[in-house]
Amino acid sequence: MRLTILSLLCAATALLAADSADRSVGRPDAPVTLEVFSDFQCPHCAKLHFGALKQALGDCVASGRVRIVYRDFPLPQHQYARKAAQFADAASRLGWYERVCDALFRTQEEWERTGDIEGSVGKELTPAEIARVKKILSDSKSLAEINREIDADLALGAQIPLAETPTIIVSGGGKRYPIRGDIRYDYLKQLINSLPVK
Amino acid sequence: MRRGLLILGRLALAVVFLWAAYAKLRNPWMIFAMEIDAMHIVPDRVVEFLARTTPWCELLLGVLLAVGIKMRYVASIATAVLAIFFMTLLVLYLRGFQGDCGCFGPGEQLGPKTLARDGALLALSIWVTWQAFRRSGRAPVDTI
Repeated sequence: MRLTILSLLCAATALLAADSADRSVGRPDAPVTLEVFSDFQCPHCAKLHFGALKQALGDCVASGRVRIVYRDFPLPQHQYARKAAQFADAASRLGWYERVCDALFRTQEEWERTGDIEGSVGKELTPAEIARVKKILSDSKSLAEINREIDADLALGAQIPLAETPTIIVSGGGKRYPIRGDIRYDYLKQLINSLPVK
Repeated sequence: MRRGLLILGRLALAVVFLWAAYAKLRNPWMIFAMEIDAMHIVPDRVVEFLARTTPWCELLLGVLLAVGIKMRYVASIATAVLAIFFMTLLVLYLRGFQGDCGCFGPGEQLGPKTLARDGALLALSIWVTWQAFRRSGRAPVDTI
């Protein structure tokens, strides 16, 4: 009995755990993938993050139908967007991507005024956690790797082509749909459910 | 000469309506619904209705324009539809809306180019309508 509960817990954790390597949540073999291109300094991205995406996490990601892949798309007009993306990507190496995303979007208005990302996010993470993220960012090799990942996401977005954030690429059953803006979950869910499961 | 231009104008409008309908109908209706919803111009309960019916209305208008019968009515309706589209997009643009215009499926961000194109189409439709009324005064049947 104990073993069954333990294996169920492990399965649930594996299902919902953020993959630190590619910043994704959900089963890797999920029939539908949502690739979310966002900019931490974009207010619509924050709305989408706490709206449709949170609902998707609790619903179709939890049920195994959807996998969410987060992509960085810092827009050039947003002064601190890349710095925020670097911070989140460093946190992803510690398995805290979702938590740091929440903190960055929640404190967006604050750090976009001051540029003090650590100070703003620091209210939601412990000093020890902040220190660990900063350690990754201070290592030139890790920082270069993080910047390469951000540039790769930007190049991927440019190929689509993508001009604005947030943009979600919904793909499944051989179909691929780009959706822009802060959308409502009702329609996103209906779209996800309309995609054939191969 | 004028008759030739008129047929050309009517067929151009027909192609535009047919293309707009095809671009929407080839995707699930939810895509267009999300575009309409993002505009925040109609109540929530109307969004789905508009998303499901607009492409079919465009298809019907396109076919009727291509066939060219009852042109006074068809051209008037096309002009009214284009005027509604144009005014909506203009207001959205002035409000600073930066999402998709929803004109020809997903992927076209609302901007000055969209407004210039839709404005030109509206002007063409007004001219076709005006000519339809002028010609129907002389012709025994309402066609151009």
